[in-house]
Amino acid sequence: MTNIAETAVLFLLIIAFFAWLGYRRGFIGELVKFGMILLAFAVGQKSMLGATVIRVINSVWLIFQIIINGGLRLLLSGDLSGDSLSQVLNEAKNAGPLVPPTAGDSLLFVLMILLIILAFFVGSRVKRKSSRLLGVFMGIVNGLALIYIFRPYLSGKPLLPPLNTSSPLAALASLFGTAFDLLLLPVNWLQNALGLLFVPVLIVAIVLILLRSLRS
Amino acid sequence: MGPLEILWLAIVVFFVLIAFVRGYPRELGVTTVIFGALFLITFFLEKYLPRFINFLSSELSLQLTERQLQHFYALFYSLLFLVVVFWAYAGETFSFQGKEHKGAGGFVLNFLVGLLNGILVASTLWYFQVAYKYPVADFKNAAGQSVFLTLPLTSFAQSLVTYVPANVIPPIFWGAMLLLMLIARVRK
Repeated sequence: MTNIAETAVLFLLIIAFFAWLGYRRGFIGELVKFGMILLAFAVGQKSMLGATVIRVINSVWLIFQIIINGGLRLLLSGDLSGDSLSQVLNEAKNAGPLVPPTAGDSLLFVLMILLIILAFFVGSRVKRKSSRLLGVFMGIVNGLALIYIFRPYLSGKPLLPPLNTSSPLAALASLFGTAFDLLLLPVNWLQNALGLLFVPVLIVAIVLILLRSLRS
Repeated sequence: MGPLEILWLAIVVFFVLIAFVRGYPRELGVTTVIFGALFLITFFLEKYLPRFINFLSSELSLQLTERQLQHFYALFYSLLFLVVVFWAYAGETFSFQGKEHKGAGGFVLNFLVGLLNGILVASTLWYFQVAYKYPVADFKNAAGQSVFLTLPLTSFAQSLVTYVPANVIPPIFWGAMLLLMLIARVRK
């Protein structure tokens, strides 16, 4: 069972890791990273920038639908009568939004993750020399920010299945089983998303990976 | 797990081990030949061979039952497929040019190509059984028990059989893959 002391040790280890990252990167790099993490957090929340992001995506999608449903043809022919325009608009609206209300949260979460990855990438690109001591401080701030961002997602269902610790061998088998399940996770995801179509997609993907790996 | 899926898994593991020994540039040549064999059998032979057999049996006044024909097709396609795969491994191999990755990267690539070839070979042999209603299950001993395979399949095998590539992929796909491999082979 996890008690307070163990949680505190784990927490300190995570914070120490971010402090070490801050020490290596310096203050400016960590500051840039912090700004991007804040932006990612804002994009991930519907009440902040999330709703606007979804609105923009759906608006772009509507414009695209108007164009492919005859809008471009109307514009080029100069026939901008009310009837033609309303017909095109109705057809475009019938396609529905690209991001339906039910899928919004998942999309925003993925966008937030991508922006956080980008934050680490951009932060590591900053070459300007700056205070390492302040970098440690800023690294701790970034670590705390990420813990707070991800806490709601981790506090519910356990992330990994419980490890079978009845014997060292059972624990090892359980660990390998979990690792295998994690490896197969993308395949499972592909199967759920594409159904039986995942079989040819997987074959093509493997062949392309192999062909790309041949060095001339 | 039942005997059929164990055999399927054993063939896949066997091909993975072969891939580790031969390396993925050579194994890609085998993949190309497998695509070619699948295209030949599923696109041409499965369409035209029954017509030819019908013509032949009417000319020779042969009275063949549907089950006999199913036995013949399953055996003929399986043997043809195995001969082609064997040919891909024997003698001068149709390998791809290029330098092989070593270390962990090479290990993963060898594993992937072995897995692909193994699954394609094992699943295609299984497909010939599925398509012709398991002729192999007809072989019985004196006590009336099946020698090679007892039906029905286990639930795991039934779920596995839904993903047999030749069962779910249209024949033209194998032609497209063959073309892709040949272009890649020539381009390198």
